[in-house]
Amino acid sequence: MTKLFSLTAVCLPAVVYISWINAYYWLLEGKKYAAFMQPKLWPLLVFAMLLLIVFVAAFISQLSSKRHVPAGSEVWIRTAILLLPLLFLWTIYGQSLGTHAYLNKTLPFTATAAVPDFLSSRSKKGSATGNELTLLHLLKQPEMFDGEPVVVEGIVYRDPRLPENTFRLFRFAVICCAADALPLTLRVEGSIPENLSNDTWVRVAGRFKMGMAAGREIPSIAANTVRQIPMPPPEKRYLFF
Amino acid sequence: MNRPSFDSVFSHQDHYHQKGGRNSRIAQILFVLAAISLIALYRHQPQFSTLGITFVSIVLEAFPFMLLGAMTGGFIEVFISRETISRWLPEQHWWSVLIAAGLGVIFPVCECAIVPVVRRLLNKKVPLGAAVAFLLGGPIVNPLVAASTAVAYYFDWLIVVYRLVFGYLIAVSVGLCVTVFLTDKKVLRPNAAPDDSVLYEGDFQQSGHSADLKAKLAQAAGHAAHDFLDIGRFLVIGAFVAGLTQTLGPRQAFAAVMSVPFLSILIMMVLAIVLNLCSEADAFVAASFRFTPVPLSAQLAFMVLGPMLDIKLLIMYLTVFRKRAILLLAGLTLSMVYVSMLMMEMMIL
Repeated sequence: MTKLFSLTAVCLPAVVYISWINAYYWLLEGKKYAAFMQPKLWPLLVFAMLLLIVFVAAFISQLSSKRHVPAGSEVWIRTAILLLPLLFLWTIYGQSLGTHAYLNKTLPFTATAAVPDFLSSRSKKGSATGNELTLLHLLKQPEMFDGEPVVVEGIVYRDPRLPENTFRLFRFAVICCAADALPLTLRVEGSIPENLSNDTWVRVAGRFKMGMAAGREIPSIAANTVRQIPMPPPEKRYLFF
Repeated sequence: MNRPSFDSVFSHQDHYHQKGGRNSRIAQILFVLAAISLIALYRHQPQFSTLGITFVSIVLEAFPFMLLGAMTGGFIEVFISRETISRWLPEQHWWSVLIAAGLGVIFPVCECAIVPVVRRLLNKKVPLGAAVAFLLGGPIVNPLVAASTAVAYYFDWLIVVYRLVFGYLIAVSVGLCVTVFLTDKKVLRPNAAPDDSVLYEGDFQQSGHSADLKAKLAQAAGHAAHDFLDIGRFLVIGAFVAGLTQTLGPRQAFAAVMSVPFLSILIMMVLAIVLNLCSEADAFVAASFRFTPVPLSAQLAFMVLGPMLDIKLLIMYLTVFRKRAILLLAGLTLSMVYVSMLMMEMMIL
């Protein structure tokens, strides 16, 4: 029994490497990684997978030459900690950043501000979700859309400080990974369904305008229609710079 | 002055260290249990989504760099001899700190990769001050960070220069302080030397020029794999704590004092520690504070401190340094960043 226990302990590093190789493969398949990170960074995942394969080969070479670091309880703890992110990955996949994260990540002076100047020079029209107009386009070049009819999708936040016929529409824009997600938001006012609750995904059609309030530019949409839509798949929920 | 080798200094294990190891193991077991309990109890809560997504995304993005760092460390272990390192970075000369702080220019590593590399360098008798200077300066003073900062700030090269110069000077200053005032024994953790020498004991004796390239590559991969297992767990713990802090600490709490320079510098430093952003990405977040009341000195404090000191790094430092030494290094770095940014705010901007 003790022998079996120590033999298992010796093999635990391989369990870690192979589990992570599987996880990276799973993420790469169907571009699921876009639910967590910038799609342009996919080569990093391939690179990590290759290095882990090299580690497996090194492990097999050590095992076959009967050379390995003696395994104690430490190795079980290491394994548990290194596998923990995978447990979270499979639990969390499908869930998304919502109103809670929006409120946490928003600063009052960036809440409705236009997208920072550096971004307007970086990406052309188009987004990870296709060629439709997004909040990123609107906030990147607000002057271009001022007074124009627009259709955009996003998540609802019913700000208690706003009038009843107004809500904030927001989405998260990611630079590298979801940890650096920046909330992009604008006001929507007009004909709004009564039962619209926080974290609902909606498609808003209306006229975009840039107004001024308390010395700051406030982008908003005078909505003609606000329609509830199904939540997009996890890999299409963020906008990417 | 002849420095005893890294492994001989730390082969000594007394009762205190065994107790420390036991406490560390208990803490790690409790961490795993707490994390699993969170999944069991709160997985349908919106806060859990924020925590889980932040945690997983940091780990997914950081692991490739960590693996690269481990692989680099493995290559250093196998292909670079102690004599070569001593020639490049001689212990007796203070200028080895100046060289080490700028090594990122030709050897770009981000902060997730640097700890395993530094651990292997210390094992090769790199002077402590130089190792600390590289640890702090490497993730800032490198071309990738310069490029990302330039893009984020729309090619405002002055900001790039400020970031790199301040990063370099602070790394040098901390490195010199360590050289002058501290010794290996006071700073380095007992058993901090990688414990995988048993893997290739025989090979090391006959290694050097006789071992063929294939065997050496296998050794490098073996060391890298070991470092990944050993240090990777601290990255996971750090990422989890970062996720927890991002979930529980609303940034709005800081908003009221953001326009006051001496407070906003402090707050942006706290944000840098808490957010744990990659040194190639943090400039984009810092740049999002342009045209807000947050002064440039505070944005720079965020960009200079983040790659030197954040939660995941602090936890990864535990694999190399003693707790008191980490506190000292953190205190030195924090105060130098704060004072230099404050002076910059008053004198330059």
